[in-house]
Amino acid sequence: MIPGSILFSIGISVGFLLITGLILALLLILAEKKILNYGTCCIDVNEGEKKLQVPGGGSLLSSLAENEIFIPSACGGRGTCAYCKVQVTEGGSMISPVEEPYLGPEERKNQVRLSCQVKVRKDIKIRVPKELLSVRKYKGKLLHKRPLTYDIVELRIELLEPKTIDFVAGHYVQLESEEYDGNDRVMRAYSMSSPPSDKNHIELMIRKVPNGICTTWVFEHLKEGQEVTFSGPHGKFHLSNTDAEIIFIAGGSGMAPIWGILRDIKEKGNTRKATYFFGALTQKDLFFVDELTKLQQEVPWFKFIPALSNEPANSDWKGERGLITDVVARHMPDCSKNEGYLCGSPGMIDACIKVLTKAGMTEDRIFYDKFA
Amino acid sequence: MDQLQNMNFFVSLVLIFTSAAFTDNILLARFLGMCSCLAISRKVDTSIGLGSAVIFVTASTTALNFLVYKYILLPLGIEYLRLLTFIVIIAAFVQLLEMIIERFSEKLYYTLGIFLPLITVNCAILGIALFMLNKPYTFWQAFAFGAGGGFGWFLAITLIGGIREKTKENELPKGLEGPAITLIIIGIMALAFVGFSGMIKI
Amino acid sequence: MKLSPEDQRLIHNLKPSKFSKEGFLGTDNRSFEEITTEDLRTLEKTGVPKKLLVQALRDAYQKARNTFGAEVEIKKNVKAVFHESMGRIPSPFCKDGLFEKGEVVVIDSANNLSLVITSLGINLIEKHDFFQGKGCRFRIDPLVAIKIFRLLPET
Repeated sequence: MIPGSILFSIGISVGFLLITGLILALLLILAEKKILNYGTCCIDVNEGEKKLQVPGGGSLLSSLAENEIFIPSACGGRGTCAYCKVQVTEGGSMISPVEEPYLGPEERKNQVRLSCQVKVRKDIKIRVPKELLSVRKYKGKLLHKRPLTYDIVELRIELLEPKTIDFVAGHYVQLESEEYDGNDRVMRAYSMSSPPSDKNHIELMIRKVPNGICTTWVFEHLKEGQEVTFSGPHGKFHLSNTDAEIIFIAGGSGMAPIWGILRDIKEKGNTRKATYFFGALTQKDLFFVDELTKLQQEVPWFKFIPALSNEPANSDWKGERGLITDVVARHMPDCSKNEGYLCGSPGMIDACIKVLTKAGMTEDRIFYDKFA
Repeated sequence: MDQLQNMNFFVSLVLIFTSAAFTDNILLARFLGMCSCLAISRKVDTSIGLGSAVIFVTASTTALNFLVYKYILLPLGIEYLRLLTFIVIIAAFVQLLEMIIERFSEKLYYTLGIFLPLITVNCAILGIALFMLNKPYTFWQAFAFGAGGGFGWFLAITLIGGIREKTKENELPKGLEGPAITLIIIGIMALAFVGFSGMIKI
Repeated sequence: MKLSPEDQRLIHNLKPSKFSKEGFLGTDNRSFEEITTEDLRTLEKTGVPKKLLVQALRDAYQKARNTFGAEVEIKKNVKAVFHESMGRIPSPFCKDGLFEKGEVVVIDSANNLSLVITSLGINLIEKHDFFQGKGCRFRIDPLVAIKIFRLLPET
């Protein structure tokens, strides 16, 4: 038989701990409700162009995404990719240590922030490029995946939901890969190579990158007939409104936006002169040569110059040889009246800018998307 | 002990603070709070961040626990539950503090707040709260004891951080790298801190 | 062991992620600290200054990058090829920002050795003494690099 006094003290200790625990838990729950509740906040986009009512406390990026405004982001809000920059003119509060390294002095002056790191705690005013407001999430079905070379494929996707897309030739979409072999879903940017008039479809050209998360998925896991998701259109790469003679320079999958632009201006009855320099290593890296040569024969304004830098000297290749930059320099000694449109790796773009400026082109007439 | 009660109020506070910080350094004399110290003391700036968070939390929880002990545990006659009670109170307090800081001061949140989850269960904080009971302190004296203890921990981890930054490049026998050499450093520093022990006796 | 928020972030970023399919540690189960100190020590013992090694890597990278994919000769029997890739990759050390993708594969046919150099990889060595973990495709083993770029007089 246990003495009553012991029972009593057991009871009192258990009761006391129970009550303390309960009180503290209740206190914390209440505090979370009260302290971390920011109420409903208003996000004002582009001086009243759109007004969103969102529950406070979330990140600006996710609050916008819930309201169908898709700021480009690759890391999913962890503050590592720095794609999601927007201008926060009011209510953005302090720059967090996570953002610090990504913001230059110029951006700080313009109140640019990483939208994934800005918490919506009060009414907030932001400014985003107008095109971003028309960015949508799309569901589509892969109609075909056909190889263009040994390491480039063309995807043709039929839009399911929404059924149409409006874009300017030269723009890109962010394709979302699915999970496979323990890899997360990721978003990667690919230019559209289809003409904007084909509103129910988009086409992409994708080059296989060794160890690439998204391209490995496209090459090894994506099947025809499968459903795909992407968001878009994004980008600033498109033809200007002038009638200056055009120089296109692109190699490999960099052809995508240019193939789109060419088909677009052909449909629109273009008369602007254009020359396309297609740089590749050897003949097996070339593709669409027949289509482009045919276009050259059909219209008077287009000239197609493929150039190979690594073709064996004794092969049957009759076209241009040498680095694409040297070929451009040979054909275009004076570029002061032209406009340059480049698409390719950062290294190729840097080198082309050098060649074009040397031939008299000012940098404001050179256009490119570095996807960064 | 009597002299403590007779002493001028402020002088006693200062004495308690200094003795807790130096003669009775929680990290170097009692070897408490070692886990977070070993892990975080690689750089001076993170050491300072964590140290400041510890000062703040020890000072406030010691005072809070003093009140709980004196007005709840003692009257109910359940002093033996002090360990459990203190643990939950400290944990809840740190959580609450994190929320408040996040809500009201972003600046403070980025300098202190991010370290708070690390010290929810830091034994130095519990240790200071328990040692406080060994002395017949008044409320403000308990507060000074907590603040002093926290400051001592801050001082120790910052010094260790400084030394570790300097020794990072040095070649060590493989077995001594990382936590091992840090423990030796702490040992030598503890010896140095013994020098304070004769200064104040309360 | 408890870790500071900064270290937690680093450890997380070094694992396979949305940016790096295989992560930066490869099959190495040593900690980041152990990898850096051991590689630095190896480098120190050879007497080759880190600066020289970084410069050799950077030169090779630039030389190959300038030809957009054609093979270039770095040294006798050492060839390098640039494989382009669009886009940028953020450094696992968040403070460093973004780096262009694209890699240079260096093959030393005399010693049967190879290396994969990226601009991020060069930065990791230069700023953080991090040569990447063993088993990682992008690891630049100091001894292999020294041999390939003939940074020590042949004995």
